[in-house]
Amino acid sequence: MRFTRALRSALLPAALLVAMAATAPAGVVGAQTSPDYADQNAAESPLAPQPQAQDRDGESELPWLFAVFFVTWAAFFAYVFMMSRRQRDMQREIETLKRALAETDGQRQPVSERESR
Amino acid sequence: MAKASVIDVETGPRAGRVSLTRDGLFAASAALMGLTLYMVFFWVPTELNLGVSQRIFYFHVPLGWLGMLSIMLVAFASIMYLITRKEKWDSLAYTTAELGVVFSSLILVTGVIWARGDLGWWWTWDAKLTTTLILWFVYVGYLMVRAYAPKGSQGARFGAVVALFGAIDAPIIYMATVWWRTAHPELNTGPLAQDVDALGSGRIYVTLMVAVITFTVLYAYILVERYSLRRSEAALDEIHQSVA
Repeated sequence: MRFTRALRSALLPAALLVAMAATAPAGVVGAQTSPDYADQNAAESPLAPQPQAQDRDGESELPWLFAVFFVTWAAFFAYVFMMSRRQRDMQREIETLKRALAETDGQRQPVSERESR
Repeated sequence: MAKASVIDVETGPRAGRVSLTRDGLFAASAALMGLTLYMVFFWVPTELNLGVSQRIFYFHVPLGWLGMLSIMLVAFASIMYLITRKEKWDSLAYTTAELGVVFSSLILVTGVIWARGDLGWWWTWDAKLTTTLILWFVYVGYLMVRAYAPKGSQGARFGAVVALFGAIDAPIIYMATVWWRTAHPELNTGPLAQDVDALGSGRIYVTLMVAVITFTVLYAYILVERYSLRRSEAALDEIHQSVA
């Protein structure tokens, strides 16, 4: 149980990191090679309220796409890492409490034995 | 009593079910994320006007939806806590507020990067952006209240009140483009969509929906993980208080 939990808490950050590392370059290549959408409706797309006059070949925009991609995954990774650290701290705290309880029980034991006699 | 609650969280009868849900959500979010990344980078066509940077849309919109979902969940859990005074509702409110900070930060950062890439500016004080920034402050304010207010029910009550006031911001963010002229694009999806043709290609719409579902499943997974951790933290606090 503890092993699977530890495995899971290590697995998600690792999976996120691998996803980030593996898909970033693939994504950049994919974004460059995927087909263009040439629908006339797009010319009035409100997705672009007042686009500046600049080249739309994709080259100049790749860093922005990469930045968004990197920031999103890095944030998830950082948050999950923070969660796994908290979990580890809590496990440590539980162990400390268990030990303290065991010591208290050990001290009480002779008293209860005396009472039983 | 406190000891019992820790045992419930760690090895209780519900633990197996929770673990199964967690594993299922993890597997689903990993599989869906793979599909989404494939669709975003290889399947969906490049939008003609916005170019490659339009693909930011498939990250930015789901993050926006989840930022809004978070504040609604915080408000709902806070109301339930004020009515029932059950600790589980407070844990849910705290967890969703923490996730709200992560997601609303990402909304702002991805939006800012997209605006810089497409429009040439980082930030403008228009209604949509400003109300979203206010939402971020609401979440941070909530967590600060929880951190500095007395532990226990008093802090939870203060937090619940902050969350309820903060929830007023959610409909204002959604309606900002309807009520005011903003630099932010109009609503493209949902019942109040102002321009449904904006998404143009069917592939753009399908990819957006898959991305929304994927991020929602990922959100659910992180929520379940963080919620169970939060409940364990609360149970440990109880033990410390009873021992002290």
